[in-house]
Formats: sequence, structure tokens, C-alpha cells
Amino acid sequence: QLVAKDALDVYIEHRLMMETRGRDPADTHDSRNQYPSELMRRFEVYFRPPSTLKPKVVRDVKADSIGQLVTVRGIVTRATEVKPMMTVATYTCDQCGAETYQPIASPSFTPLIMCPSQECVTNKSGGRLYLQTRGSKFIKFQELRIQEHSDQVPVGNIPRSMTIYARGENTRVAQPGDHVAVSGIFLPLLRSGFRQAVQVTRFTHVTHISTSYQHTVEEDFYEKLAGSIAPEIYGHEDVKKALLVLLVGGVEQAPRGMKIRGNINICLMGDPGVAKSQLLSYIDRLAPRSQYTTGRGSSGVGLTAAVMRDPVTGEMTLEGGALVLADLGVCCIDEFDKMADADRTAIHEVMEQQTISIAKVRCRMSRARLSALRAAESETERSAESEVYLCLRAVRTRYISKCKQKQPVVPEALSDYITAAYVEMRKEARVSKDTTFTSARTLLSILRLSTALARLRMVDVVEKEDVNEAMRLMEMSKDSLQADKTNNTRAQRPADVIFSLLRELAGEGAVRSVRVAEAEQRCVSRGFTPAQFQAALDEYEELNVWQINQARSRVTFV
Amino acid sequence: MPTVHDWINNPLAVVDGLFAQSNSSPDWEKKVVEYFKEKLKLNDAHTWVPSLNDVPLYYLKPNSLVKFRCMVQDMFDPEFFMGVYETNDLTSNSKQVKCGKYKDITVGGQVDFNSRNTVTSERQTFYCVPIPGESQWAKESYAGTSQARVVPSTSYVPNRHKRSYEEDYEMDTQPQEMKYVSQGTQSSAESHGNTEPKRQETEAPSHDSSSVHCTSSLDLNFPLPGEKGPACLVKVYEDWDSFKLNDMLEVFGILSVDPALSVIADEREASSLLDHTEVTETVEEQRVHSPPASLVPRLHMLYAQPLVHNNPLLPSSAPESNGDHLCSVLGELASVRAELHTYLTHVLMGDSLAAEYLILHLISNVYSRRDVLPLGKFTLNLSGCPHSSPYTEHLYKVIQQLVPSSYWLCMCLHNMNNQRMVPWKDYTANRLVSGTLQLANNTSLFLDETQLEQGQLDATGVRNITALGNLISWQKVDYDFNYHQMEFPCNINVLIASEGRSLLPSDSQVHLRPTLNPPNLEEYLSAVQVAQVPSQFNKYRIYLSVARALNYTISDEITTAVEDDFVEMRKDDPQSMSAEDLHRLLVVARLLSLSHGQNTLSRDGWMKAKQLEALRISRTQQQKSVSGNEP
Repeated sequence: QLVAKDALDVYIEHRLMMETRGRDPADTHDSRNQYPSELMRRFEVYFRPPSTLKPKVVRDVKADSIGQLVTVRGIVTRATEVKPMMTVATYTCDQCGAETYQPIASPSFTPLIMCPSQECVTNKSGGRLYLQTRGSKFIKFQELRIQEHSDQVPVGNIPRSMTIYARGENTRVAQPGDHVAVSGIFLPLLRSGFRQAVQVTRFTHVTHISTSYQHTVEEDFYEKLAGSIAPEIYGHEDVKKALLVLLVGGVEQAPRGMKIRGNINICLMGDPGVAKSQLLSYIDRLAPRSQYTTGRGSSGVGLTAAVMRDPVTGEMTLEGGALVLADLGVCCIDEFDKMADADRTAIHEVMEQQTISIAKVRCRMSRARLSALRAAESETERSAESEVYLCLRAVRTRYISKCKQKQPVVPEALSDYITAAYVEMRKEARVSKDTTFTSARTLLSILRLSTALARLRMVDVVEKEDVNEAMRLMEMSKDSLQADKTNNTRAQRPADVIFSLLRELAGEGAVRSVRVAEAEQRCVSRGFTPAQFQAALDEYEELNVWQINQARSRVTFV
Repeated sequence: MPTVHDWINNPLAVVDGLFAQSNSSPDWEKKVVEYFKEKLKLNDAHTWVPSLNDVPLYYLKPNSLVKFRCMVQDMFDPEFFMGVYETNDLTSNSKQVKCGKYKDITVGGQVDFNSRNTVTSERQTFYCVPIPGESQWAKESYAGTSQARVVPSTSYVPNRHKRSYEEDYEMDTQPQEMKYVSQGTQSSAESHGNTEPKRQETEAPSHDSSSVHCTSSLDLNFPLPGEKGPACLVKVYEDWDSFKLNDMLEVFGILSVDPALSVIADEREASSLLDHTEVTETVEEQRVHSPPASLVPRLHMLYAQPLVHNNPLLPSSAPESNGDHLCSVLGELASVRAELHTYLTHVLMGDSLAAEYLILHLISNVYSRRDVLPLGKFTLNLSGCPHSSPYTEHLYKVIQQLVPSSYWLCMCLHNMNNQRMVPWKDYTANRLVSGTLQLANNTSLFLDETQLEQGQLDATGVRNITALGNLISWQKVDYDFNYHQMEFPCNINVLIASEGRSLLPSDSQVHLRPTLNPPNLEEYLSAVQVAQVPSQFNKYRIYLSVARALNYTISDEITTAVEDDFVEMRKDDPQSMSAEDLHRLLVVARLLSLSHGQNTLSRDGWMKAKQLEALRISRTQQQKSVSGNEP
């Protein structure tokens, strides 16, 4: 005995009982008084196309496909509300009380009025039929409109669209903006009009909608994906990996109202002409939502710009504008170092707090959930960077957006490992003369990176490898900076070293002076010759950095 | 027997005749197309076909052959129709197989939808508008060549109109009452014409205001604001894939303005309010896709000629096929060029260099694309235009007189912040809403930056500026499809008039240096204008169109010479000549050669181009130093 779930179940049960009870082989019912099979079943049958079937493009579905099962691919541009649609209308007669059923297969129907039952017909009692809502059967119905993907449209053509009728369990599967593959029967709809010879509106009765594509995660998928970012740029595997991680982003957390951003910010630095801008523009194209701007043209305010006239030349120039709420997207800012300081502050706020506040109105505007990707030529404003990359210079967008849906968590077991690793890094940082600062911020970065990496693998739990890779990326980022340092500092001349030694000796007092004899002794002990010491003395005296008294016994800093 | 003009007045009879002969073999469709192609080829036969562009719609006979010079503004989804259908004639109880091609309405009797003879075919609908920004002279000239006008216009209206309906009735077994019922309260010009022919004629000019119904709410979706003319739904039956958006076409087709078409829309609109399950289109969509036929007529395409240019003074066919014409033009090309140069020099207040560059700009044309880079474009920035006087307006008028289509875009802040420049897809109405940058090839876009004032650009303004920048740099417009953008390549000549250097990129900047200083600019300019005889203008127009269409090659020998030259220039000073400079120099050389009617680069031409560029660059630098020294 099945448990009745809703009114329909009760009705079905009741009707079955009635049918068995009142069965009389001699009695031939009017077909309309018999229970239509639609009314008695609770299942729906749909076809799922074989996975090997390649979906068609909307424009390839032509007149020869009419009445056939087709599978098309597209983007949903419109979806109606889900409405009930009558499939079987049930009527009761006001005279004899008999039920009459009318299965409905078309979008519209003419309601029955006269009771067709034996009793009413023979008695000519003229029984009227009344529609009975609870006894009728309705199914869910939704209408969708899909449009071709932009890559399926030949150059210079407008994307075509197609109407989709979804019923039953196929409703509420897709929303506008979703990429779908729809299988269904392709039918033309007759324009019910006055003498018009046209049958328009191509539509498809859906039998199956799939909103996603199956992705098999291959081995070394991560490498391949990273390698596919800007393939024309050779090398820079780690930079590319970092950019890939940026596209995916870490998991945002909000424990007890505090917000910890998941977005990853990257600053690319390097000499001019090492393809920073190219990488930036590549990301700009790849990210589903992104905004590209150069530092010169950005202001913290938003997507506006001021037109200014140069009073002398009459030249019109655009000022400010365009930090740009690439909300939930990537904001690529080229030439970050050339940005005005005030605007840079605004961008810091965006990056760190993920909000934009507009001082004038004193309110916090919409959350700007974006990752900032910046390229700068000089090393500026490094402190706030989560991951600094020395740049010398992708992936299917869809895969990335798919990845973004995952919300991987760091399991309890891993936390000890991460803690230990962090402690280790702190220790290391203290020993080595590191220019970057290892702080809690680094820890956050590692967590962000590892959750992003887990997303890339499309799993729900962060694993040890993810943490290791995250730390490796951080390490590589630091290394690239170190290399920069050693290359850039020129070898110090003896005179400079001697100068700094003297300054050290002179101390911090109001009158900073040092005895020459003492200084010379100190320098010689450091391996400089007295001649070098004298030369340094003269050189800096000439520069008016310090003064030497007449007896040449005392050096006083100016 | 069909008379000479029967194929124009009643093309459907020809179609039906060929269909009847075919015995349901499918090659009749080809025969129909061939028939009309042949007919139109005959000596100037196409001039006999009335044009929707210059004959008002209510003068045209329904179901006659008309032509329409237009641009494809939007492409709708394909639709199915009954290519062949069978009718049951109730009176004689006989069945008849009929052809449904080139028609909107079935004819005669009850259609048997379950007949085995029914053939479902597919056709494509294009929404076509008159070529945006077409100059008045071009319109007039086209209208002037049309010989359909030869028939006195009075005979067009009442008599013709009436006869057309009589003919309709002959073919039509539908009872007359039905027809009137079907028209209902629709106050289209057609129904007026039928009952009150005289009134219709007097009312004709105010046609738009008299047909109350949808006029106010119906946006005909012209790319440029203030445009007039008929928009048309063109039904395409054969290889519609060969047409692209923004293509210029001359469509020859059967005009269909049956009021029944609008009634359907009305009925559906009414019914949709009652019965929601049947709605597959929104009300907006219906309005766009089946507007009243009196406003947006249907045109069933028999044959379409893609227009390479819309210059009425030249044969419309591809340039290679009219060699003789070209030769005759080339003969006096040198003198025409000299005259045009003098004329433009006067217009530019005696600046001969700027005139030279303006000629180069006017004949520039994107001839090819390498990856994303358009080759051959030559955007000119004419800086130093006086800000206070309406000089730029006059300059635009001069250009308008010379090119077949053009648009003056005033870059004032209000325009930049409010105008819709980039077309976008309206998914509710399911159509591409046009913008000012949806222009046909070789349209001259005149950007007036002198009108720009200081102020704030909002989001739309920034987007518009970006779109203009993209248009200039890449010759493409990114149409906004909400979920994604789609790139549409274009070929638009952009001329920027500004005071200082323009804020938009340009290929070449020439600073205007007037040698004349007329006390009254306006008087001076109109005097210059008047000094030109109309025939002179026609020469210029032909010259510009011909020079633009010429083929151009560079021989290997010259290539090496240019290469060596480049290396030589870089040797002296690598800064002086970048790859971009070389590219620009090559474009200048190309345009300069073409403007002299040479279709290959000569050593001489190369040297001249170099001189010209040197002159221009020195002037720009001087300008810089001058303005830099000023306090």
C-alpha cells in the first residue's frame, strides 16, 4: 500500500477502486468516461540523448529536422515563470454526477459543455459539465528562449534563437544566461491567423536539458591549463599558474560577520617590454567579467570620466574614470605605478576590504568583489600585495566559471600541517635577510591560493598537495623578487661603505661628529686601506656632507 | 499573353505560371529566379521597376515588383511557410495544389493542413532600412534615373489602386465581405484608398499621422536619429547565408502590404491578454516582428544585388565589369583631381596640405584585414578648426556634397552621455536595437570635437568614447548582446575635426593652417560653394568613388626599394621611423597613388608620399612648440 502524497494520489487510488468495483464486462463506457491513462500515472518519460551525440547549432536546425529529435546548444536568453498546464480536464455533470475526462494535447482547448454519459443522453436531461480543478491533471510548464553562442555565429550575422517548451521535471532547470544543451522534438508552430500561409516560431519540446558539460579532470591538467594562458608567451610557467589561480579565486569566508576575502590580487612587475601588458590583456579577454584600464586613466570613483580642455592648445583630454566595478570579476590595471596616489588608495580599499566607499555620501557602496591584477614597472606599494610576482610575462572560460562554483574547505587534519609550515616560514624569514615580510597575511594568502587550487581540481576538500603548491608559488614569487634585488643593487664602492660606517659611528645626537682617528681605526679593521679612508673623507667633504676641522682630527656631519 | 510590364505589375502570375508548368519538380524555383534575373538584365529594365525609396508606399501597387535600396539592419529568426499547399474549394468541391512562395496570405478556399502535398519550406526575414545617412544628392539622383516615374503620377493613385484591387479579386475567391471584416477598424492607408481614393490623395503627405494605430509606439529602428523612409521586412528565399548585417542591397521583390497581416498582429495582441498559455512571443516582440504592413511593408525577395557603393553616378555592378566607364573616367582624372584639390583648398581656407590629406581620407577604404588589423583605413584628425564659428558645420556640408552617405556626429557632452551609439540586443522584443555606429560600408562619419565642452562623462559616455576609439583603431563595433559582445567589422571613414589634438586616436593629424583670413567666414564659404557648378560636383563624386574602388599592387622591385629606404632611415636615427610610421607611410603612398589613378606604387609616388608626410609632421611639431611656448 502506497502512502498517498497529495490529492492526486488519493484520486488515483480512489479511481482505481471505483474502476475495479464497478467493472462490468458488458458495460461499454463512453471513451470519455474512462480514465485516461495520463490521469492514472505519476511518472514522466523523457529521452536523454546518447553522450556521443554532438549538439547542433541553432542555425543548423532546418526544415528537414521537423518532427525529429534534435539536440541544440545555446545560451538561455529568456525564461518565463513556471505555469501550470492542463493535460487532462475533468468535468462533473450537474445532473448525473458522472465524471468526464478530456485529455488535452494542444496549447488551447474548447471546454466540453454537455454531459456525454449514457444516463444524460438517454434521459435527455441536458446535464451541464463543470470543470473540476482538483480532479484535473496539471503539469509544470515553462517557456525558454535560447540563442546561439557567439562562437557559432558566422561573421556579420545575428545570432539566431529558438523557443523551447519545457514541461514537468524539465522546468526550472535553466535560467537566463545559462549555457544549455537541449534535446527535444523540433516542431513548427502554426500561426493561427487569418489565411496566413506561414508557420512560424520554431520550437522544441524538450526531452532533456543539461546545463553543464562533463569535465574529466586529466592528469597534469593544472599544468596544461596554466600553459594555455597566453601560449604565445614563452615560459613564465609560475606567473601563468598564478594568473590561473587568480581567475579561479579562493573561497570567501565570513565567520561571524567578519569577512575574509577569497579573491587573489596579483601585481606583475618587470622591465618594460616583458609582456606584462599582453598577459594583462589576455586575462582581460579570458575572464568572464573583467575590466582593463591603465593607471593613468583610472580613478577610484567608478565608471565615469571627466572631459577637460587644455586652455592653451584647446586639446580635449579624458581625466580619471574607470576603476570600474568589475564586480565578481577581474580588474586589470596596467601601469599601476603611474596612478595618482589618491586613486591608488581607493584601489587598496577595494582589494583589501572588497568595498568601495564614496566619501561624499558617506555610505558604503556595493561590494566590489573583484580581484585586482596590476602591472607596474617599479616596485611600489608592495606591502599590500598578497602575491608579488616579478614578471617578465589559459584555459576555457567556462571551465573557470565551473570551478568557481566549488567551495572547497580546509579539513581539520590539514590545519596542523599549515600551521607548522607557517611557523617554518616565519623562522626562515627571520634568519634570511628577507625584504618581504612574512606575516599573518602570508598565511591568508597561502590559504587563498590552496583553496583556489582545490577549486581548479574541482574537488571539495583542500589537500596537502594544494598547500604545497601554494607555498611553492609564494616561494617562487619571493625568489623572483630576490633575484631582482641582487641584480639591481650595484656593487658598493669603498667610499660608500666607509661613509655608512662613519654615519653609524656618529650616532643620532644633535651634533653628529666622530673623531678621525677612531673612524680610521674602525675602517682599517674592516679591511680598508688608510688611503681609501682618506679618499672617502675628501670626497664627502667636497660634497658638503660633512666638515673636517682644521687639524683634521674630527668629522662633523652637516 | 504577358505584356512588357506584366512581370513588373503582376509578378505572382509569372511565379504561378512557372509553378503550374513544373509538375511539382523542384527546379521551378530556380526558373523563377532566373526569369526575373534575365528580365532585369535587359537594357535598363531595372529602371522601370518603381523604387520604395522614392515612391511613397501608397502609390505602389500591392503584389507588384518593386525595388528597395537598403541596408540590412537586423536578421530575424528563420520562419517556415507552406511552399506548396492544397486547398479545398467549398463551392466546386475540388482540390487544388498551390504555390505559397513569395506570398504572405494563402489564396482561395480552405487550406488542407493535413494534405500530403504540403511542402514546408524555410525562409529568412531581414529587417531593412534605407541606407543610413544617404546624402540628399544621391537620393535625388537615384530617383531621377528611375523611369518608373515616366508614368504620370496621377494615374498612379486612384485608377491604379482600384485596378489592383480588382485584380486581387479576380485571383481571390474570398468573399468581399470577409476582406472588409478582416480590415476591421484598421485605419491604414489601404482601406482609405479603397473607399475614398480622392481623399487619400490629398491626405497622402500626412500619411504617417493619419494612420493612427501603431505609428506613435512603433519605433522603426533607424540607426541615425531623424531618419525618414520606409523600413521593410525582406523575406529571403535563396542563399540567405550570403548576406551579412549592414550589407547594402538593392532588393527586387514582390511587395506585400495586405492589411490582413496587421490584423493578425492585432488579434494576437488581444488574445494574448486573455490566454497566457498561447503566448510564445511577447507583445513587444509581436509589434516588432509583425508591424502593420502599411508602415513596414513586406518584400518577398526575387533577386538582390549587393551594392559595392551607393553612388548613383556609377554603374552599381562590381567595378571590374565596367571597364569602359572606368577608362573614360580615368582619362580626365588628373584634371578632376586638380580641380577638387583647388576646391578643397578654398574650403579649407587656403590650406593645400590639408586639402591633399582630405582627398586621401575621402578615398580611403579598408581593403583587407590581417588578423584584427584593418588595412587601408585612414582616419584623419583635422585639428586647428575654429571653435567659435560654425566652420565645422560648413565643412561637413561640403563633404556631404561629395560622398554618397555621411553622418555628422556632434561630440557634445549631452550627445556623448545620451546617444545610443552601439547597437544592443533587446531580448524582450527580440531585435537588435540600432545605434549611430551601425552604418553601411564607406559611410563618412564626421566627428565634431569642437563641440565638446568640459564636464563629466557618465558610464554611457565612457562606453561611447570607447566604442568610437575601437571603431577608429580596429574598424569594428562591439554590439552588445547582453550576455556577450559580438564584434562586427565595419568600413567607415572617420574624420575628426577638433581644436587641438583629438582625444580619440587617429591615423594622421593635420593641423589646419589657414592662409586666407576672410572677414566673414560664412559668406566666404558660400561663395566658394556657389562657384562650383553642379556638373563639377558630379565629376568629383565619380572621381572619389572610382579612386576608392581601384585595385592596387606593389611590385617586388618597389618593395625592395621601400625596404632599403626604411633601413636607411632607421640607420640615421632609429627614433625617427618606427614600424608604425612605415605602415602609415605605406598607406599614404597607396592612397596618393590611387588618387592619381595609378594602381601600382612607383618610386616617384613613394618619394611624394614621403615628402607629404615630412611636411605634415614638421607642421605638427611646429604646432606643438608654438603652443608649448605660450604661457
